[in-house]
Amino acid sequence: MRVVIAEDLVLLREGLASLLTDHGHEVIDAVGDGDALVESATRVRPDLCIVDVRMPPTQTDEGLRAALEVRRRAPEVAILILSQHVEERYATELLGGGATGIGYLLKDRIADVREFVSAASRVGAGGTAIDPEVVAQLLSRRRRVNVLDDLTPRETEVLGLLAEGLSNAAIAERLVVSHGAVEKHVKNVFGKLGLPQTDATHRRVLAVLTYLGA
Amino acid sequence: MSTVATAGEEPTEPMPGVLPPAGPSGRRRRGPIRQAAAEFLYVTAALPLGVLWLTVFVVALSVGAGLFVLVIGIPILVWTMMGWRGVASLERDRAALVLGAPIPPSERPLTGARARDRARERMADPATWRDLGYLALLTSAGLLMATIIVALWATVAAALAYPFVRGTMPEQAWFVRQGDDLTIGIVAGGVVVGVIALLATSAAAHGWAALARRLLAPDAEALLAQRVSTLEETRAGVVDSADATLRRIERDLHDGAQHRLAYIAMTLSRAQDKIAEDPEGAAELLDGAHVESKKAMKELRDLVRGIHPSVLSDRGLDAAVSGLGERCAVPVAIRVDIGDRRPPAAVETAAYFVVAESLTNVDRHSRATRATVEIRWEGDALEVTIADDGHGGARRAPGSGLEGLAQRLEALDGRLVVTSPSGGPTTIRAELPCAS
Repeated sequence: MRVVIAEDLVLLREGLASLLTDHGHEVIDAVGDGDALVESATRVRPDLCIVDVRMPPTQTDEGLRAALEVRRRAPEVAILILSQHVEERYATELLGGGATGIGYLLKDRIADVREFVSAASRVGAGGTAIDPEVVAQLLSRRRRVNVLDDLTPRETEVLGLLAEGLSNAAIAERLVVSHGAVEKHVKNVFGKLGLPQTDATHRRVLAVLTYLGA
Repeated sequence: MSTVATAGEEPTEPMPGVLPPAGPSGRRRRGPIRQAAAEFLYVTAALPLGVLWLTVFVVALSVGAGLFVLVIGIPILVWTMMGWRGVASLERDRAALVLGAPIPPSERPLTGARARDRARERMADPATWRDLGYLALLTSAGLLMATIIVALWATVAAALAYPFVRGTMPEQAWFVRQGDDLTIGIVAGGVVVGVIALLATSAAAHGWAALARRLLAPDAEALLAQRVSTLEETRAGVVDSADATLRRIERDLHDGAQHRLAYIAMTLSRAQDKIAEDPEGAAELLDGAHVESKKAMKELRDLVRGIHPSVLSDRGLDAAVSGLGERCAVPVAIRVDIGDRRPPAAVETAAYFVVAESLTNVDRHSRATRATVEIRWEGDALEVTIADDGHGGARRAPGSGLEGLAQRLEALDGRLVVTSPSGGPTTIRAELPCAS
């Protein structure tokens, strides 16, 4: 997988680069601000951009805005946003343009290298990776209005994992249950929430998030 | 109302933040001759000034009033009002000739945004009408007083000049024919009148100055309004500076310790993955994580000390400031002479940060070879002075560390005086009142 990294703090930029190289990915560019990211991503068309939200010169949401610009100019480039803290609003803005090849993770997630790399690979391959914290925020907001009351605790858990972007197989592995059991839960969740069933992972995420974030 | 401590016998302007470099303005002392000359000037200047203002304002008021029905008269009257307020403030300054210091301004702070609202507020301000009252007195009683004093001194001058001009007078004049007895009498009379004129001038000057102060100095209500306005400003300053501090801490944590910790966690996780098949590579990663963890600890330690140094609360200013001096690259001579009396915690902290910020500036910008820090009691105020022999140019720019300090001090009714001409040297003095 060909990757461009946008991160202004040199230590993390280099750490990320060697981490990805270790796992057999090719880091073709590493930049330190939003403009450089847009320029680089549209020029080299990588499979994935890993982008820090906060970068110079404004030190606010520079990275997010640059990522949206990359998405507009080169929709085939997957984008994984890293952020020091999660904001529902950022997730909504990101997913507004479709959930193909989109990821939004807390920076802390790089502490679990294997999970992080697998999330990055998933996004790079056109999938989705939404941070559990974001999903939890969305779910808890929904819980307040009692929409999810009908779901059993197990089904709520499965819904959260669905929203993170995991496939049925990955959910089965995470929950240590059989593939068939997961399929049953997923079917029940979709049934109770009135969502149409489909196979593609990212479509499932989009559906769930759109429903939850509405 | 002890907070408006300046409303005493001799009010001085409660100006926050900046002091004149020479120190608190007190009554200026003059020699007796210069004092008499100043009093003479103060009284007699009322003659031309009275005539001038009488003419100007009689004309302006009649024109304004006459044109009132046509709309043009209204702005003329408003300008006239601004004019007499201006004259009153000249009179406040002029009173310094006798009082030693100008009378403080009495106007209330304006709140309106539009010129029309501000004019209306001015009109509603009793000080405006007291100013006009003073002006009316100046152009009548003041004029009369000045005329009498001038006449007295003219008499004295004529009497004392008589012996010298007697020869030039026509010989048949009766007083010339009276001979030397009359001359002696005239001169003696001149001396007597001179003494009277001297006393009268002094009495008139002091009487008039007292009258001016009565009419032109702020009353309790105006002082209160000015105080409220100052408090509003300093409160906004405190909120701003607290906000700036939080932002700085957030930025420091985000760019520093937080990202180092993320890096460390990531590196440890990579080392974990590697340790079985590549122990050497894992050891290298662990080394890197170790180095970064030490950096993160140092950054956190510095940040915590920047928020509040624990030695300050434990051991007081002397110990805390000595620590600052030791960390400064420029040699610093420190004298903390505050005895056993410990200032309130807020004052102590502010004093500490005055020294910390100033020494940081000395370190970074001044190119000084030595610096001094002095902390002592000046009456009920703690006075902190930091001086260096660097190239100067320190300023209270918006957003600068010095500005933040000044805001912090103003919130405590203190002041920050920065004397730093280009080329140096720099002196930073903070005064922190401690009401006991």
